[in-house]
Amino acid sequence: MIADILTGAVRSGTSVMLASQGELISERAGVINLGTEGSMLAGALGGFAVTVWTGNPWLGALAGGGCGLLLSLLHAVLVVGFGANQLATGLAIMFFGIGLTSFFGRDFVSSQIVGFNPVPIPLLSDIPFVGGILFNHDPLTYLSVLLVPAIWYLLFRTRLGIMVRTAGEREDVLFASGLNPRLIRACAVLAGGFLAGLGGAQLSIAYTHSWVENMTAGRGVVAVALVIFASWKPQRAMLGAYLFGAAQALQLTVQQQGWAISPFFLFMFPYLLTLAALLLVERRKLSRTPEALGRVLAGDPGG
Amino acid sequence: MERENLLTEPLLSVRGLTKRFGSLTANRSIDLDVRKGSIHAILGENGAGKSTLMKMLYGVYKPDEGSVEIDGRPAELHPPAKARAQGVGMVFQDFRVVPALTVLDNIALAVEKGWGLRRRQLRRRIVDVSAKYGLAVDPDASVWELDLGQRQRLEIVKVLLMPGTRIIIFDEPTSVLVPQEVGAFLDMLRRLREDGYGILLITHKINEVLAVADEATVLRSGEIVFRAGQGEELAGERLIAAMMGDKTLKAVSRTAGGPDEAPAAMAVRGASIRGDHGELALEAFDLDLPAGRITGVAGISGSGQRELAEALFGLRPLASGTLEIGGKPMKPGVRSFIEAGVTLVSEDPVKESVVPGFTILEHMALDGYPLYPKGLGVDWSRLRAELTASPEAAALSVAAPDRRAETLSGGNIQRMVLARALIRRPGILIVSYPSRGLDIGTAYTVQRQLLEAAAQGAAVLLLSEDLDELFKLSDRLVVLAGKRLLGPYRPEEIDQAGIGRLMLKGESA
Repeated sequence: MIADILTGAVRSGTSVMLASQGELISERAGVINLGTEGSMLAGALGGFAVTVWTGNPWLGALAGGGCGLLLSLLHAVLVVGFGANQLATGLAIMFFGIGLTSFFGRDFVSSQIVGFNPVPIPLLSDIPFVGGILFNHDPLTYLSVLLVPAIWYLLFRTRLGIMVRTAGEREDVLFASGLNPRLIRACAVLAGGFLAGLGGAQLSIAYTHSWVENMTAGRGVVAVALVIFASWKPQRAMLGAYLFGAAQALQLTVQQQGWAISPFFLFMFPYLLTLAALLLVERRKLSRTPEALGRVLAGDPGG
Repeated sequence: MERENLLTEPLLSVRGLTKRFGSLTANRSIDLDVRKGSIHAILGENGAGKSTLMKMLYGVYKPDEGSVEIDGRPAELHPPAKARAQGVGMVFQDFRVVPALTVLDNIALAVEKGWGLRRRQLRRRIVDVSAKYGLAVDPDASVWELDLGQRQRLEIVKVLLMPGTRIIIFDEPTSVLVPQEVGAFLDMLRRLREDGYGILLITHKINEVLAVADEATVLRSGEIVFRAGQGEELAGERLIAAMMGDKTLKAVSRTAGGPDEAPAAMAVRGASIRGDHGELALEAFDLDLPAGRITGVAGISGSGQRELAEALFGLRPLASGTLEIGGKPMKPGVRSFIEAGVTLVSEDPVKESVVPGFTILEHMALDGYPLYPKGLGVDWSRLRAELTASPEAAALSVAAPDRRAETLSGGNIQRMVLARALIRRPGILIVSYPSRGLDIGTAYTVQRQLLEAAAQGAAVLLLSEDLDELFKLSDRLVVLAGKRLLGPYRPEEIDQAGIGRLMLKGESA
């Protein structure tokens, strides 16, 4: 049973993980995007639909990322272009995404796809206990694990990463270096939208193989919270996402066992556990909010 | 120091540079040469037009008239990217750095091109330049950990690593340094000169000009009033005279204090103060503020000055210890301190003491004058009359009562806040950096007002980063270093170098 839960942790946590990595890039550049939820849903539906039409889950995953990116483009234009309030705009886009996907998704509710399926890695997956947990997943999950060190390298070891982080700290320094902070921020928001869409697509075409209205059920919001609690560090956001996944898996297992616990409490449980765990590991003194983001969180309109 | 071939061809040469802002002419037909391997100092009081000139040379402003030549060829410096491409670098007073990033990241952002980063190669270049010019700075330290001197060295390394830098403009570089660092800084300037850099040094410190400059140009009211170096001897008195113009300066100095055992208006015993993040800022110190005396506080910035000032004004509770005013222990809370006659001039009045949309008169009513009721409201005309007649406001030439704070310059706000504090005739006056951002003439006025307040019996605590000012005004000096409060010392018995050593190393020095 423990092996089941841990396997489920990775399987169910991957979508949140992808979205949180994307949101991390965006927040490092100084833009908080609550529309991540909407981008995930757009990715889930877009990815599912393209997989239905083409039968190719890779095209589906790409389309999912694209749909997420399109929705985040709205956020980028309103916030970075017109200086709209980030939190209000993000919330509006989240609900816009829920409505939009519910409307266009009606026809896909009963569709069937093959999608991505677990691909055991030869030899490694034969290791007892650990093999099944770590090395028997869908291709998107493997990709997402590789993505975390890649994003860390990008943010902390390249000049592009320095530009992104400077956009989230002191945009006048970017100006002084002849760079355009708005462009960098907009690109970071779009990258975040793409990864959120990819995460949504993982949910629909690799994890559940189906489309259900509002199927992300707050995972995008959890991803945003994870980034903040993870002190804007990719590896900590990854851990948080898997913790959330583990709680999801635990909830499913408990339901299957038929224990007499209210299903409503079980639904609540993953969110509660994630928050509690992150609050415990979070150390305010060590975390440093990017300055530009801090202004947004303190009530400045941002932009 | 004699140096030969002063008449090398100029790297940068400007003729007839003029810049107007509306009806104000900030710079009027400025001619200036910066030569290879030479240091050219620009002197002037605040508002003389130094920073406008620098901003034109660095391409921030586009000149309205005049021509610029680099290597004898006509050149365009606006915008800054063009100036930089032609080899003009600038070390700003307010550093253009990101505190959250490391030194190496900051340099990579400014110096490198493209998206990738060859860290090892860049690190080696940083270490090489640091070693060559004695600019010790750790590439892997985060900038927020650095003190101002280290941040300045980072800025200089950055400018030196920019491709093609040949002309370096320093904007008031020594204002952020402690006395011990100034010597090393001037040595570094000499080394840069030997390596053929053309250096433009903006400053108001005559001693530094005399120590390193090959040429000096004095600006007053936007015009060049004096040049020295090309044939003309660099002489301190002549430079000062040129800077001040026909304003005569009465040098300020305190008359030696009376008996040392003046009664303590405020007495602090065994006090500790915490900083913003709960860490101890100052540990277990005693401090007396005798009535009628000025107690000066020296220390490298960020050694607990702000915490001390706020604690003595009741803004920040003591973590431990006692604080008595007039022999009575104080209740916590600003209100009881104000009622006991304590007044604070904060270190950043623009941020902390000003409501942008309020007029000067309204600020005076907020905190300063007693209010006279008129019907249900305030007798504004009486207040206005008092403000207009106030000798303090006149001495500090506070702007008109109806000017709104957001239209005032930093120096104007500083004067208003100081006048307001003095008008209250406080029993205990805590002043942070009173002459910061003021020109010499106004700074002298402020200093005279502080001496006057002390002569009338106020206990003054003067926090300053200017050791000259501290030595000139203080009857007693204390030093903040390493979370301790050292002293008091008598200014007659210790010199500036001694205080500087204490600032750097504490009492072990």
